[in-house]
Amino acid sequence: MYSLLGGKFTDFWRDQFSDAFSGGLGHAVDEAINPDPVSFFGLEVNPALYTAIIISAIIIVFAIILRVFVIPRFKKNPKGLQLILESMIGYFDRSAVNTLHKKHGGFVGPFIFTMAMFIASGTLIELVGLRPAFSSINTCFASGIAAFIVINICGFREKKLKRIKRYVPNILNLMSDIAVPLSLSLRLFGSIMSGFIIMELLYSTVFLSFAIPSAVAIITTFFHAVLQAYLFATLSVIFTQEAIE
Amino acid sequence: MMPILISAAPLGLNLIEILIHLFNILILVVVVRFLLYKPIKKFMAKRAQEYATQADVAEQTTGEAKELKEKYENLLDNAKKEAVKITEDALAVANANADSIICEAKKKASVIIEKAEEEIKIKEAEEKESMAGAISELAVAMATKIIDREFRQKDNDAVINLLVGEWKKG
Repeated sequence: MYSLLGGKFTDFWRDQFSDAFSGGLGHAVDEAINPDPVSFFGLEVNPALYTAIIISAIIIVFAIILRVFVIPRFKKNPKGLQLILESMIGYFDRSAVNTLHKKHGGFVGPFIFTMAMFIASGTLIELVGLRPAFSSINTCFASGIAAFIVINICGFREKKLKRIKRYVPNILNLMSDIAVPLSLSLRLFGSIMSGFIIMELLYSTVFLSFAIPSAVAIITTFFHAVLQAYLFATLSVIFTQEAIE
Repeated sequence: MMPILISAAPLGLNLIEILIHLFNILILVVVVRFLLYKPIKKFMAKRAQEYATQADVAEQTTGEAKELKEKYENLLDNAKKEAVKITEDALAVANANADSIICEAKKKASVIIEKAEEEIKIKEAEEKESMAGAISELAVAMATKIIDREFRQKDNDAVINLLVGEWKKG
């Protein structure tokens, strides 16, 4: 059902692009948008799922190493890795707690911190040649839905049934609620996919495939990774604030 | 108008994949929360608490130190004042003593001077006495020589003594 217009739309532009660039570039874009599915326990999935799982595994291993070897040796005067960790967690914690107070900030803070790390590393992994985790619409929707769940948990904790009652006088509230995960996921998908497509195009053209990608990757990968991570975290906090007010 | 194709989902939208991703995100959030976020936050909170306590203690200690400083400064001031007072008292006493000593010395000196003057007067008188005898003898001798006659001492005593008496008075 949901594929009726979207599929037609992408097919049309893919064909247009393929005609314009006589196959080579068109194929690169096609490969970027619709990669060959890979098997995941017998299920045909987008390879970005593997990237997401690899990223998660890396983050988890990193977290375990930090927890076991680094955190017990924290000093009063932070330096190096400790300073980076403290600054990051301090930033996300402040932005959550200052906006949502302690009641919800303690719950939203870890979520936005994790999502920011996940988005940043899931995009930066493109630099080592893997498909960025957020180049699949499924990853982005999952992130949007996760944010939606967090926002609504906070909303219900604060407002109880009033959160549902507000749909009765104005049904538009329902649409604005549904728009939140959609906007979060599609923003993420659009920016990271666009960067990924640009990189794929560069690599698919022989005379552009050396030296230039390293310069372009700063904008299409580094910039997007940090910006989208920051945006996702900030917007999650802002939407949660709207839900509890 | 072309027929709309119900083909594969656009962009590979897949509900099961979304659920797998959601599960992945859930695990990730839980692990990061308990392994990274909470311990680091706890450490930071503990350190902030320690710093707050230290600041309180420092403030308290500073306050105490200030109080002590004031107290000791007061003590020092008092001590200085006392020292000045003691010096002044001592000076006053010394001055008084000196005055009394000088006064006594003056008295003693005046007594000594008086005594000396009296002694001088007595000596003078004695000298005059002795000199009167000598003078009278000399006068008798001179008179004897002048009038070439020996006066007897006894005869002339009345006249000479009268003269000598007048001289003494003079």
